[in-house]
Amino acid sequence: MVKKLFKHEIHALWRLMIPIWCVLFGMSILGRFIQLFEQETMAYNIISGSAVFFYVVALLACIVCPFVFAITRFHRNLFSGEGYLTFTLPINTNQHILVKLVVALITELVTLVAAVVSVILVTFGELTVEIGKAIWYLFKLSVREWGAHMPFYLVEAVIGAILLLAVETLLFYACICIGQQSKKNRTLAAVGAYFGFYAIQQAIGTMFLLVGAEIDWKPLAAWAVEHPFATVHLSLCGGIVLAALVGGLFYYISHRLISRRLNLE
Amino acid sequence: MRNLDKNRPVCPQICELLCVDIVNGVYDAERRLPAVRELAAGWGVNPNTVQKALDTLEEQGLLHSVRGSGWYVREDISRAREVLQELRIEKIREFFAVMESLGLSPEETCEFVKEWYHE
Amino acid sequence: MSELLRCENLTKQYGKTAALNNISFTLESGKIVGLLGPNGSGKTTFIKILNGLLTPTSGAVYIEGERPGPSTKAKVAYLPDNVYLNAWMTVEQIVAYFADFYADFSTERAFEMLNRLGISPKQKLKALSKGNKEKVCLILVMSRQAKLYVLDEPIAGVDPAARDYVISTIINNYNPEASVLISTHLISDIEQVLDEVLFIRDGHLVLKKSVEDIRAEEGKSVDELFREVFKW
Repeated sequence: MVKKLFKHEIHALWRLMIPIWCVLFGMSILGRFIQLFEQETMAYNIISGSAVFFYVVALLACIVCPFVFAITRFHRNLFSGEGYLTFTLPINTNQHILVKLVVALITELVTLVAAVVSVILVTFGELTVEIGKAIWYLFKLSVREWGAHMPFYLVEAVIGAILLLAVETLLFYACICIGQQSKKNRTLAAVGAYFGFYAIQQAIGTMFLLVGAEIDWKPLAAWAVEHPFATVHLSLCGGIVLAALVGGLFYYISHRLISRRLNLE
Repeated sequence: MRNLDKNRPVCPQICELLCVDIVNGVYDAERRLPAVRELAAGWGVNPNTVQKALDTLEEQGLLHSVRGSGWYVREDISRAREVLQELRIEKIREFFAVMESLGLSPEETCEFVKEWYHE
Repeated sequence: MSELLRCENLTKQYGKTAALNNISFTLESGKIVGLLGPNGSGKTTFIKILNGLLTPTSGAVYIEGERPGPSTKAKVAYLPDNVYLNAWMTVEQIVAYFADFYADFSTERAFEMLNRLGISPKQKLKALSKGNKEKVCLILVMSRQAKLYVLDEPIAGVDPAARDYVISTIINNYNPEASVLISTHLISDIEQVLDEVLFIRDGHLVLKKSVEDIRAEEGKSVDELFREVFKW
């Protein structure tokens, strides 16, 4: 059942994303095409300059797209008229939320990869080789400096990044679910929930700053200097745990509201 | 909906309809009745009610069911004639009773009907 | 006749008003049951609870002994009172969608019924007329071999020809092991199809009776009785 849900979720989201990926690819081709006419004239500089500008804007838009689509899909598929069908499928709430989340993350990652490929396509030439060389150099350098820790750092960083993406998505899911509890304006309530979470986050941050100012950091700093690898691991893993906790909280909110307080119009 | 009186139970009405059809030889060719669902859809009534009507007619000896095949009209329709006759007599009795309450005795009612009908 | 549905002191409160007030009853399988009441009497609320789209304030409903959840959803076929199809799909795609998720769905039967109506499988759902959209929804629901069919106002706002189509579709796909619960306020059109009726008013169950008993004992149609009970 989950497999089928996955299939339909991918279909629903990717039917919107495929044109966007095509646009990314098309822009790269266009970029290469413009470069064919490279010359030292005013006209060419204007054209290529504005092309670069539009390319960057479009690239950013494409990266944001899966995020926006995934959140709209969450809302429409669960809480609009479609919800009548979605919630009468023999599928539980966990499966609904998780499948949507995983498909959203996969789509975002695919889009990031597509964006990188697009950039490589458009800049391919000496520059690409130089960038490749620089990355390779950095890699070698880091392996030499960090030794066996390097792959672990990498894995931790990647997990952390994906988790952050997940937390951000789950935050929006939770806001939408909270918005549904409102009797009058559900969109407004969802936006309100978002700012509510933002305010809570700010408040907690401020609290830590205030508390932090009272603490004597010297012994900790000394420890960190003595154990640099452990410090990096600790902060990366700490970040992962924190993100998992916050994500878990948002997940719990959505799950609870959907399974206990569903209120379709 | 079609030809049925909503104020009376549907089951006896279906018995009556089927009884008339049987006597009129509607099912003579194959002797086999349409499926319950088809009959029900045709009249726009509940299949369970049709089933009940068929059971009643089986009890009265008009039909017999063959497992896995359906309902068949009995070769000998004299039973159907009898049942139909009884139904008709019952209706006439009801009619007489109504007319009696409107001030006509059975004999007067017969006269009245004849006169009225010839007009 | 086994027990299919059981309601125990079911109550749904919206703020201070009770949409459903302490409703208790049981339904057997093998019946076509009318859930009758004026608009706003709590019919849709009850149906939504049955399908797990709303949670009751107190009390519970059980389908074959289970509360609404994934396993009851696998055996309840639900026709909501509004068109819920996602507009971007084609007829073919929504049929495949149902076939994927409901093990009791017959693709063959669905295409047969669509074909009879002349609806092309390649058509986009949003290109269909309102009447055809409603018919597609009904076909999808009736193509399942469910234990319980729940049809919320299937004949409201459709023309008489379509009404006949809906009724004959229900009869033609009915199987004696299943039950059908039909909510409506248009009684005269559908009363001949019913075995039993439930009258609800202001969230209270006021009558549960076999329709043949109503006709035999009261000498009147369900519609007449309804008008009497709900006189204002």
